[in-house]
Amino acid sequence: MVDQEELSENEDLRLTKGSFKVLFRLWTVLMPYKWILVAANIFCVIFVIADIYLVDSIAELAGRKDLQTAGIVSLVSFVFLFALLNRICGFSQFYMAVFATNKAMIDLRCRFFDCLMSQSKSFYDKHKVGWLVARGTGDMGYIYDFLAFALMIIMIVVTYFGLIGTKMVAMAPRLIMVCGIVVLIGTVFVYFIQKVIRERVEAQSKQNSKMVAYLAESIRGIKVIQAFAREDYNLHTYMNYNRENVRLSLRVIKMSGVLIPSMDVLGILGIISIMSYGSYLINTGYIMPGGEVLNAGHLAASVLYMNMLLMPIRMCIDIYNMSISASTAARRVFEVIDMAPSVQDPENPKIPEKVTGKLDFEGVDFKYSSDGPTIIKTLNLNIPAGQSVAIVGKTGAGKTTVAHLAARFYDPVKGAVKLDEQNLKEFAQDELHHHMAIVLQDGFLFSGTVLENIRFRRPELSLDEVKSLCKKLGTHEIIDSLPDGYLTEIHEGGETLSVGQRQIISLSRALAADPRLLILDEATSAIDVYTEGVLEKALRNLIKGRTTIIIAHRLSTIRHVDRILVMKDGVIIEDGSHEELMKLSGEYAQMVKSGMKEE
Amino acid sequence: MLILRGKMEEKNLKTSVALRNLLKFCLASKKKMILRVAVLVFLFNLIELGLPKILELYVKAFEGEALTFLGLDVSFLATDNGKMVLLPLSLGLIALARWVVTYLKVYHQGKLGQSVLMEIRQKIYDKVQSFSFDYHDKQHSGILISNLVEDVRFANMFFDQAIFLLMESAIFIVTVYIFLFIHSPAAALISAAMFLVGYLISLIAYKLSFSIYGRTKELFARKVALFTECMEGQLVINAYGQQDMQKKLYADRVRDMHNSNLREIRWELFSNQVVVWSTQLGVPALIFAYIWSQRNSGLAVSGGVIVLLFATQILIISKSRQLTRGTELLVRFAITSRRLHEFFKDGYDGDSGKGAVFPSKVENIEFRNVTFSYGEREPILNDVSFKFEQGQMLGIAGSTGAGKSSLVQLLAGFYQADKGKVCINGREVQEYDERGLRNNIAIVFQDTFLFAGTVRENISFGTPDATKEEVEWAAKMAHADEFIDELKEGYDTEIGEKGVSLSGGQKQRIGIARALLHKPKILILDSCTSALDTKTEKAILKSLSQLKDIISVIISHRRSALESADYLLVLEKGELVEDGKPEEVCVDGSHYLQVMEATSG
Repeated sequence: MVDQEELSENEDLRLTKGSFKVLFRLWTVLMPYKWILVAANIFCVIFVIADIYLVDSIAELAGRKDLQTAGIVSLVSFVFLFALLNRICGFSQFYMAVFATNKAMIDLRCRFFDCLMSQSKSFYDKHKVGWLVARGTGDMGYIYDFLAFALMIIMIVVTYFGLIGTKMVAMAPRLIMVCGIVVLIGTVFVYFIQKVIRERVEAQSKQNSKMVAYLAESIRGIKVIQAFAREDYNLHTYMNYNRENVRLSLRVIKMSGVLIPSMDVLGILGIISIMSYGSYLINTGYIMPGGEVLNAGHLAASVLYMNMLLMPIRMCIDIYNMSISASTAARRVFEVIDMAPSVQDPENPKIPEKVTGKLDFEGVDFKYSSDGPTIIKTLNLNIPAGQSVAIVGKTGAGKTTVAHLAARFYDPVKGAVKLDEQNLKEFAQDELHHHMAIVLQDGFLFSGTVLENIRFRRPELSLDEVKSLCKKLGTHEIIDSLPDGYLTEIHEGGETLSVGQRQIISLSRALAADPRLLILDEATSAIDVYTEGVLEKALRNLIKGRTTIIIAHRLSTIRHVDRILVMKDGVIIEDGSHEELMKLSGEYAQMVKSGMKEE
Repeated sequence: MLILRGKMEEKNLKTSVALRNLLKFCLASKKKMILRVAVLVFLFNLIELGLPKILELYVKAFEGEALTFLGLDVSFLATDNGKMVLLPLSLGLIALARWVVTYLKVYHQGKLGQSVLMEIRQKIYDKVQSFSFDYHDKQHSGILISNLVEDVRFANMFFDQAIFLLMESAIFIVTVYIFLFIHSPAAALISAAMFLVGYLISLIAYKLSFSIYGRTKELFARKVALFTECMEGQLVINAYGQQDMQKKLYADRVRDMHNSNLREIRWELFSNQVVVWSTQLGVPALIFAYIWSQRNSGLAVSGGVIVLLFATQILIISKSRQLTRGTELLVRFAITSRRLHEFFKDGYDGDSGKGAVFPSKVENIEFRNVTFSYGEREPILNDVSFKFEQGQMLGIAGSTGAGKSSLVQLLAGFYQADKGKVCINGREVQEYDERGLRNNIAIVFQDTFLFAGTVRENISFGTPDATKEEVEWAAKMAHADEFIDELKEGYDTEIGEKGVSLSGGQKQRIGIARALLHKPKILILDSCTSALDTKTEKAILKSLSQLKDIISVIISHRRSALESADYLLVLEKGELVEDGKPEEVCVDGSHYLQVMEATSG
């Protein structure tokens, strides 16, 4: 389902000023749940404090074996208390953060989807479905990780460093220098190794998506593969992908093989330096700033602290990586959210009482982009209510554009499109689309039953009402003959149905919507004989009394329309009924003669 | 949804059995590698215990206690020299050894995991290709793809980390308790008991949460499905003004998904927190147990041992996290393994083994009382019999659902007839060697599937070693050369999803060229000239008729095409209603003319 190829794009591997802005904006998504987060942060701090005191108590126990039973009991109870506190807080802060993030993600996902739904067609012309799906899945995943964990990790890291730092300064300022140097070396080292790892991971995941894409393509094209007995060849190709993938994965693994033990070794080096230097201090009878004499217990505590600090360093690297992925992801998501639809609703939309379907184009110019070629040139066209008009012409003549302008998928650059003498821009799009229906060439269907698809606009229709509608249209028999009749399940845009069957259902859907304006985009290009007959009949029933624009390739299907327009390079060159145009013996007559059908 | 239904059926198979089989299958040939990894893990764990041990010696040295290591007297470490140089040095040695062993361990683990994964992926791919048409008809490609991608991802996680997490932490925990027992039996026992109770509870919780994992996954898939669909059908939604409806639907699905995710996290948290609590609270418990037992037996309490116990327990905490993480991934993988296991044994038609060699010339094609249906549905073909022996082109006419496509797919051996026989040169299709059959019968489908790649690669799909001239010849025969020459980079133009998009007619011509290049004995054109204009269709059929050694079978809805055939079959609702030479079929009142009339309006 996810188009894997689209996931790995050229990502910026660095954090820039812009990324911080985006990340900051990402926090605002969490704002409605800020009190939960505040609580989580408090728990987080307590969690770290308890962890540190746990170590302290142990050091205390280790350093003072002269304690009486009562003292031991009270110290052990302290250990118990800190252990318990540590767990309760750790558990709570994690769940709270995850809870808030999940709730916030619901909001973000819905907001993203809402924005997508209100985008106009020009947006979808530019963005591929795969790209959008990748935004909705992969990118959202990165954002989730960031929101759920980054804040917590930052809190943990800061608290650890702050508290341990203070403690060690209080103990022996010079010891902390030793620790600091080790931690610094560690950070620099990890940073560089991590950079290499990231690059290698990138290479590996790109290769991986290629491999997945190859598998996906093989499944989709399996019949062709089998029909041409190309299994061995393909298996071999896949093997190469597979091997390369293993090679790249091992490259990553080798690098983590360096990173993981190096961190440990670094930690041990830190311990060694603390021990050597600490021993020297003890021997010289070092007195801590507090006035106490440094003892072995303190040193053991320092060693354990040192260990505690190394974990947050690794976490820092995690945050760094998360931030990069999340900021790139969030930038793309927000880009979509911020994008104003190119077709806007007016402030005070007019709500007409009744729409008859009279459609007028007045001096309309149109181009898809400001610097692109003009697709429609000063188009003037009046279609009386209820008239059916077919548009013919070569690919690129602008036929579909005219239909899409009528549906207000786009706004004209110049001039106006009017429905019942009212500029389309004055309608709310919802309202406008309530009066129209569109049938596309491939008859796109939604998953669900056939019934649900037909009553797409009006879910309140009952099965019987739908049936009688289809009978009227003449499509009942074909729909009824599907495996489960009207209750047949449709998957993946109707993959299981033939093109003809899909078109029949789309036509029924259009009828059920009872539109005043009907747009058929090559809706009758169906291929087989039987359905074609039904289709034509249905079509004739459907367009009766409705303003209809038909974009047709097959001329035989449009003889019964009231009026035919021939378009060439964005201009209408012929206009009239079939007979009139034949008499004219112009472009249209030529087309009919040559039996032209293809684009 | 289909995924849902699939889930229910899968329940029948015991998960543990599936997992065991799958593991056996994956690991059987890797014994040596496993052994190597196990040894490294063991070494690693031993070294891991070195740190608490040194800490203990160190504290003891300062406290002036007796120093022993593995029963030996090592009191020389208590000197200044020992404290400042020898002890740190031994730690340094441990660090070095640890570095080497960890590197080797990570590398060998990776190698083992990757080699298993590579095999699984290869096996999956092989399996996908070996499935019969039946299987692919029943499966929706989108769901199949996403399931496989998902399964591989979980297998990846399992063989990449989980299996090693489990191995390492299990070995470690056993070693560490022996180690602890030596130093303080009382502490070891109480810590072990607490850990065991925690782990057992978490295991039970994991088992209970089984279904929740599946549920979130499924809801996620449903959400993505809706999202994708809305993106694809955006124009329709917009045109029918249904945005609000879809928004509501999507919001519901997102909410369901996240709520289920939270539910999953709660279970997960519970399961691993039980273990973390039991080990964390083990810290005071074990220290108390140590002090208590020392006092009871009148022995001194050693600060060094306390540090050792503490440091060890901290290690146990972190390792037990690994263990629960490993267990969790194991549980997830177990769910997937069930599906993978099913997949590996499913829908395989089996090679018919070595069959007869395909004849060098096709003399005749015969159907004898053939009845055929997909699964348990009504028969698609009913008692069809005919014999085609004279001429070069067989035409098939009929309306939708008449069984035209099924007939030719039976001929190509993609399916087997329920009853009756499909013969080429008097021998049943199934008796021929499958490879030979595929190489000699080429079929062009209604929708030409284009693979990502150049025009040339797509044409030479079935014959990757074809020369440039051959490819161009095939394109010329299919009348595809005209538009290919007009493309910017000619035969090297990228097509498919990412490249130039071709029109229906252009795609179909590429499909025909692809088949022709394959040099088949029988060429089946299944409605694949539908998007061509009559003139081009005729021209293609004419060039086909020049190829004397190819028998073409054509399904079309155009009279001009059908009537140029040497023999014509007319199907109606699965029955052969007319057959014969075109002039015999094409008589007043024939079914053929009735069917044709509908289109020629």
